[in-house]
Amino acid sequence: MPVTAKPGAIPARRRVAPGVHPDPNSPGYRATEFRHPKQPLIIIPQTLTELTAPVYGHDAIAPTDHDLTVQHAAPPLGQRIIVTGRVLDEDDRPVPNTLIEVWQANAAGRYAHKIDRWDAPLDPNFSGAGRMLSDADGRYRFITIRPGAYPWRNHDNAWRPAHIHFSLFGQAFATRLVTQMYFPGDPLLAFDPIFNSAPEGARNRMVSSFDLSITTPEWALGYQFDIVLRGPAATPMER
Amino acid sequence: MASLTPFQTVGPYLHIGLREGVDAPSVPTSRVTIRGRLLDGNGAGIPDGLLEWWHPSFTTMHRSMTGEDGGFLFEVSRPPAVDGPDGSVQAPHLAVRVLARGIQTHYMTRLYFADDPATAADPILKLVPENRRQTLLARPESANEYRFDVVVQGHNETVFFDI
Repeated sequence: MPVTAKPGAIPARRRVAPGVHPDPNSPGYRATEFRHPKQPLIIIPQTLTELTAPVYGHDAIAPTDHDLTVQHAAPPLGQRIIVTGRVLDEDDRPVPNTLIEVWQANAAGRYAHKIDRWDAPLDPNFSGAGRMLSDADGRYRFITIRPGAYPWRNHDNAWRPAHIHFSLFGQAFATRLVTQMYFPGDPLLAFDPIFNSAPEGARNRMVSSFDLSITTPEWALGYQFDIVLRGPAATPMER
Repeated sequence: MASLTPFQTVGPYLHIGLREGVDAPSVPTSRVTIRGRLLDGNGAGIPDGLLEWWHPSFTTMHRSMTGEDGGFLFEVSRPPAVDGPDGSVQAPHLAVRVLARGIQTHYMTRLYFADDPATAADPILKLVPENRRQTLLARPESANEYRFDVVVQGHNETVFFDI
């Protein structure tokens, strides 16, 4: 017996228009050279396979997973920050109960990863990984330290601006998103080929905003970052 | 209307945030082992890659990291057929997503079983030019063991989908 959809239960997803995502072949980001397909993508209809949602990792969330500053014996070094926002679809509807995974460098710009050889100190009190679910209103919130910038070997004098990696699922295989959150006013943004590989009209959506109302007195600075996933293809509000 | 957030690469340190995971069968079911390599346009293995495997009958998604030679090996429930467009039935398959350093978005493809008689009639596979369909076929190596390489560029480049 084939797996069968409940009639009308699963909306198709809107197709992604040009001007949103980076070009898979972005010469400024050298690693794309041999890692982008040269053949055109084949357009296929969205079936049950693409429109169902992988429920992933919901049982594996520990109480400290949304606070990257309490995962070790002592607090990590660096500027404590709160990052919060909403996961929304293109119709501004919340995406509830979806897994968000984040990872980042420490305050010195060093990742707790065996292949990161940059000569900046590791912090024994910082792993740099977090995970959480969005709530019924699509809201998420986590506590961390502001990551440092770091050099990479893409080109001469190349530095990545401070960023936090985000991975999200949404409600369908087709709604998945992996992105990076940047910080407002970072002078390195102008020189970063990864940030700038996103189309000009879209890249600033990845820059968080400083928000004094999220900032907690005597404790942590607050940043706001909303994330928008693919919405349903046909909606009553469509004009 | 809200505007989509752009994709960015997972970068080289993806393992910090994205843990491996397995699909846990809710009912006893036959299992298949898939082994293969993720390869770049030079035929070299991609060691900092991640593949995600999904089927609507799974209780969760399977996620596998590539090793130093771009290799991956995992076991999942053998997927059943699935309803397709316009009353058709899709052959057993897995949806596959590829993420890696140097991959700016996600590349989406499918795995079909070369030895399944339903594969040839699959309505989605038929949308792929005939000379490229073989890139989506997992080849049996022994009972319940299959070989499936994903080539992101060049000779025998895997078919990727716009969904």
